[in-house]
Amino acid sequence: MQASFKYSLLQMIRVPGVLIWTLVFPLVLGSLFVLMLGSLDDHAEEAQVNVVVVGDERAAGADDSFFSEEAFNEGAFDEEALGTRAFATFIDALGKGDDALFHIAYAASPEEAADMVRASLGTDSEYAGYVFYEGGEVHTVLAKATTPTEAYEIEPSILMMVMDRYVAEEALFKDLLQKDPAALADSSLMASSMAPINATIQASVTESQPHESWRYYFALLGMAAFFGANLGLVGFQQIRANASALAARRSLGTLGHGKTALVTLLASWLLAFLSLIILLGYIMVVGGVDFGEHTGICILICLAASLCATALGCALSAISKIPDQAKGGILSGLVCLASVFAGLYGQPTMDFADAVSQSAPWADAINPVVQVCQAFYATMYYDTYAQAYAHAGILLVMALIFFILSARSLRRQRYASL
Amino acid sequence: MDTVVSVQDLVKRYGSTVALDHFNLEIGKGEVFGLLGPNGSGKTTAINCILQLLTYDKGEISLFGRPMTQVSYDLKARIGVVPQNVAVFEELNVQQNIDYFCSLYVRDAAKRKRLVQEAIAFVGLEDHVRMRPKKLSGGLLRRLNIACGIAHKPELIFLDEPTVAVDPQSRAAILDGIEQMNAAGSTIVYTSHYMEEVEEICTRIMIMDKGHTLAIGTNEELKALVAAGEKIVIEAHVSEAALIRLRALPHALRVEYGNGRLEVVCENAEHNVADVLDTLAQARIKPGRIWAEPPTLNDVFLEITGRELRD
Repeated sequence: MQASFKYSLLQMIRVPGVLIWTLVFPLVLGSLFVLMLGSLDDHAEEAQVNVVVVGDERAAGADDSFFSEEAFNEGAFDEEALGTRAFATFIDALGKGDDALFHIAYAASPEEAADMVRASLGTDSEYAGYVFYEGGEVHTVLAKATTPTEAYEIEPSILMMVMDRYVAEEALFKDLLQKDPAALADSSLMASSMAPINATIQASVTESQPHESWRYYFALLGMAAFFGANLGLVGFQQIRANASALAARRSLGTLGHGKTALVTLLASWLLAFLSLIILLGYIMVVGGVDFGEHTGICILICLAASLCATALGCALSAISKIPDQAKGGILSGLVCLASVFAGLYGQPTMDFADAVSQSAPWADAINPVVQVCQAFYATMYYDTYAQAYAHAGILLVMALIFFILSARSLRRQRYASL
Repeated sequence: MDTVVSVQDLVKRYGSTVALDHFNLEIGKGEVFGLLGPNGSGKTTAINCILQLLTYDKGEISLFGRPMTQVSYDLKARIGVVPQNVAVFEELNVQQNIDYFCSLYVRDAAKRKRLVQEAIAFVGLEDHVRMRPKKLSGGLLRRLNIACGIAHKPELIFLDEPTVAVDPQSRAAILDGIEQMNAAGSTIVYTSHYMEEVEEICTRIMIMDKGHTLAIGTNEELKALVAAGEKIVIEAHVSEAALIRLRALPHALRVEYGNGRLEVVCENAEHNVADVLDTLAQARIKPGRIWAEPPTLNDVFLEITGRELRD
């Protein structure tokens, strides 16, 4: 069996096309994903709020002679002008720098600002609302309804929170100016008041930080796993004694049908598994998918997926009514189609896959590519491995079904002509 | 003589077609047994049934005195098969192919290594061990096909048309090899369409057609079964009148003339050459070169199986 296993491995590796589909093609696709999806997560992490400000962007840098120490000490300053000036400076600060919280557009009037906000709704650069300082007060108008207890949209919530804080700080300073100006000399008070506004923090409700691009890598792993079925297909085609002179000759030996099938299964499973592990490593190293402490369970999923793929190849090889030459093409077509339901081919298919998952979960349950994809997803984002084990279990049940179907088909063929 | 192959009353049907019709066969130890028949006569079906590659509808098959089944691995270990079509791995080189097929019978790696080297030497592929099959010529490929079948030194070897599409040198080497294997104790079952090969190496021959045995015996016994005796060939200018007299000779079966060459096929009789020469002398025809050819196995085969074309 040892020699048979060794030569089965060697032979399958050298069959033209098999490793191209099983290993090279997924690696090429993975490389394309690295190039195409690299900016996806960066974009997803941006939390910049588009805001329309009523006023002149030059106001922040305007002459501040009216705010002289002398005028301040004499209490002879224009409070409205000071408020306008302070608000403009505040807004300007929020819109500066690489990590600016606000992306600001200016409007000449509240009406124009409202028009700009309305026009932006539904576009990629939707405004969260508009703000202006008038009559000594900050006015905040949100694009969409948001209440203090319920934030329907993130951006309007951020805008509202920032403006609320400004109003509170402004009221505090005004109060101090009137009642205890000396308190303004307290550096700790000033420091806390002037602390940068952290309107957003990075938090995750899942086990790992979600990355939009990783779903594509998981889908790729699903597709690659089932391209591994080519190995099972080629391996089992060559031991069906009625398929070729070579297969007939192999069946004449003393190894026995069962052992020959076992050797073929082990060899094709090992190669499919190794191909998948290489892709997994590539995705981790080059694609930046950090499985971290989940790497062990990922390897188990690869084992289950490659076994299921090998079984699928075996089942396909056992169908005598389909010409052997056509089976490779049929398999590739099936895998590519199944990958649509894993969302492999871009955002539209990802949306389609999500819609199918919600409306017809049974379609996911019978799709091995989706099962592999979801197993990796569950590993990364669920608190326990129960869901991942469930997907791996479904893959193993599928493998068993494929093997039973293969055995029944081969037995019928044996009685017919073998 | 010990019986190595015994087939009793074997029936194999493909739907309504009867491929083997109560077929019987006995082959003794040490024989080189030739199995002859036109295309579709049932030769390969018979061999495949014996090897348990095909199920059959009726009959009993025994090898080495024991019933042969799909799981008779101890019997299979004593059998070598060289199929009609070259059946080797395109992806493995010569040595790896022989080692693989040998490993189906021999577990011991050290023993297998020795057997593989012997098989390579036996078929003369020492200079090609690292080559893959697609790089080999037709003759070398056939020799590899043989090596894969005999490396484990089987006691019973089935060779199904092993010399198809090989040059005369390779054919001679293959036939020499078969004789060597037989001399070393192997029983050979040989099928071929090359009658002269069968005539040369087989100790006993069976002619079969339509799933039946038509004739069985040694080369001489088969030739004695048919009416055709020697073929007399004469170079001469023969008139139409002389041809009529020749065809009227009591033992003449067939008389043909063309391009100054006269051929007279006669029944087995004592004075055939003299009778023909007397007839030519009476017609005042001077013969040039004269020779007589004894009947060949091909003549026997055609007489037994007929001259009509087969599919």
